[in-house]
Amino acid sequence: MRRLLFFVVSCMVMLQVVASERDSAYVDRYSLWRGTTDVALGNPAFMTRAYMKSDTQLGVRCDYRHQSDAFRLEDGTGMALPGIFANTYIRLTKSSVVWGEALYSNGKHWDREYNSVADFDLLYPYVIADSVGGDTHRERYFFSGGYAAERGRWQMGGVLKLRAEQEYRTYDPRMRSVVYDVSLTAGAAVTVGGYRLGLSAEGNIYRQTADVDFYSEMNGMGELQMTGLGTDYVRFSGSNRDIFYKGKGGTLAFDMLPSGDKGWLLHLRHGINEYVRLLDEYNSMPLTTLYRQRSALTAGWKGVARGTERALLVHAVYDRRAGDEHVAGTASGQEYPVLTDLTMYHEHRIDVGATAFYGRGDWHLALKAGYLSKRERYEYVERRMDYGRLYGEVTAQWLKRVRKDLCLNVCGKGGYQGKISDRIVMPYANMTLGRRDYINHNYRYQRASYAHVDVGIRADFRPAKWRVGLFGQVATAWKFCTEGEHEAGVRAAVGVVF
Amino acid sequence: MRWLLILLVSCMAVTVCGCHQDNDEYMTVATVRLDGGEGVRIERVQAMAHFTNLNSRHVTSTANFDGAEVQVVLLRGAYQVLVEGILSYVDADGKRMVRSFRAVSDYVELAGIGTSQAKMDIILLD
Repeated sequence: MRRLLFFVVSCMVMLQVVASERDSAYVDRYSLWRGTTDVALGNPAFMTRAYMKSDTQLGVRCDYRHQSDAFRLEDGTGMALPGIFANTYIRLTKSSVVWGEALYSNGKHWDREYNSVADFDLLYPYVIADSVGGDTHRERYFFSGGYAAERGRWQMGGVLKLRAEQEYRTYDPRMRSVVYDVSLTAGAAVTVGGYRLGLSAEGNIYRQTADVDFYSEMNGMGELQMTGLGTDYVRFSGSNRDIFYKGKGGTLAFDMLPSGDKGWLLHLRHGINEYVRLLDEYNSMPLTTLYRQRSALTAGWKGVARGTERALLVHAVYDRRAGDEHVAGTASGQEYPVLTDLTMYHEHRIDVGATAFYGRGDWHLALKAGYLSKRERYEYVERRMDYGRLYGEVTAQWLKRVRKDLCLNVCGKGGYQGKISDRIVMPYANMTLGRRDYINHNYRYQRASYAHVDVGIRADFRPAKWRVGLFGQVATAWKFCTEGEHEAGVRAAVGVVF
Repeated sequence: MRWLLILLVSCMAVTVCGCHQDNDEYMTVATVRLDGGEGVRIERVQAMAHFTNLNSRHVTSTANFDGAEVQVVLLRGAYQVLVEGILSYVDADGKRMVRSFRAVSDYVELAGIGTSQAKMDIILLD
């Protein structure tokens, strides 16, 4: 009888430990608290201790977004991107891990105008464009894989990311862009005096071919080689519709994380990228080069005491774009010499703010506030478009194992971005009606204030006897702007986890 | 620890130095001289000069002639130039004449840093 009692008690303790470990691993992976350290995971060396347990997920998901009016004409009014994905994090030994991610998505964007390339956010303002636009299909393949190991005080790791993408339209104007994007990151970290100090370097190579065709004889309109804020390189606009982007870049990052539960955090990152737009038809003549510099700083303190998590982080991000126009001379054969380079386009984007985290038991809370500004300028003839906004955001999360086989993760977020300044300078007298409408449309939404509400739930179901678990996730996001328009978004995912 | 700091500072210095330097010498003081041919000395010009930037099609016009020269501040680049008006000149025989003229060029490089010069041949119209 005593043996039986001992066995039962031992089993209960074991089950409790397993459940507790599962709880911890679940919280460790999905808690809002991860926001205090995730920024450092850009350094693959830190992946050695990124998660407590191995975890693999396979699933299907769909992202849907619709705007009642395009907030930015180049982005269109929305998208539906269904896809399949897999990601894994596997602890090979006590001191080494591998991780990877694969994604395939195939969907559609609606009503894109003044944008006939893929990766607009990366390449603007140097894109080819037309005022007709339309819906586009997008197909994306993404793979990444990394390895990290720990030897004594040292951790080292590397990760390779590959992205291939095509975006196309099946009616005139038939744009087609094919993208290859490869990044390799290597990092090292060392444990010194209760802190982990890490340094990482990333190299990036980018290629995109983009062309626009017209199959209908009636639709032989030209494409614009855009140069920023509604301007275009008139000399090579029109029939020159085949372009090619060559990009390269590098990023360096330094991180400091406490080894334990409590301590100071620091993240410094500086990256430079350049993207040259070449004209296929004129012997790869360079039209423009976009230089992008991004610097980021995050610093703060975090601590866990008596089951309560507290952290305060301040952040500052500076993102600068400078665009050179290569002034072409007179042609010799099909070759144009470059007379000079002029840095005609500048954009400065600044985001400074602070985030406070608080967590206790099943609840986590994050409060974020800051200032965001964007200043765009075209040098001659002068054009400017600026705005400044103050923002505040509150995020609450409830994360709990409600039954032995069921975990729930409920998250809600609400925030407001209020405009505090805006300015536009345009040579309206010399602008065509279409170009004026295009600029005014985008400015209308840049100078607006926005309120947003996001709500999401994720459920993980895994009975003790099952070797794999199931998960389902659904989230919705709404954004309302003072111009009376709104955006609605839904993300849904289901899959297995093991 | 010390070498890590040195490495960090070196890397940051390299990346900051690797940042793009703006080419912000945008404007040039362009001087275009009208040439009437051998033995012709242009004394005064009353004309409009139109400079069309080939890249942007932006047109700058001026009538600011000083003798046979016109000077204008332009964005550095390649231009189409059209000058039309009336000039007074002294010909090879020493005779002073007043006539209409035109000077046209599809391509003129006015891309010098600070200043740029160009010469254009005129054609007399009557």
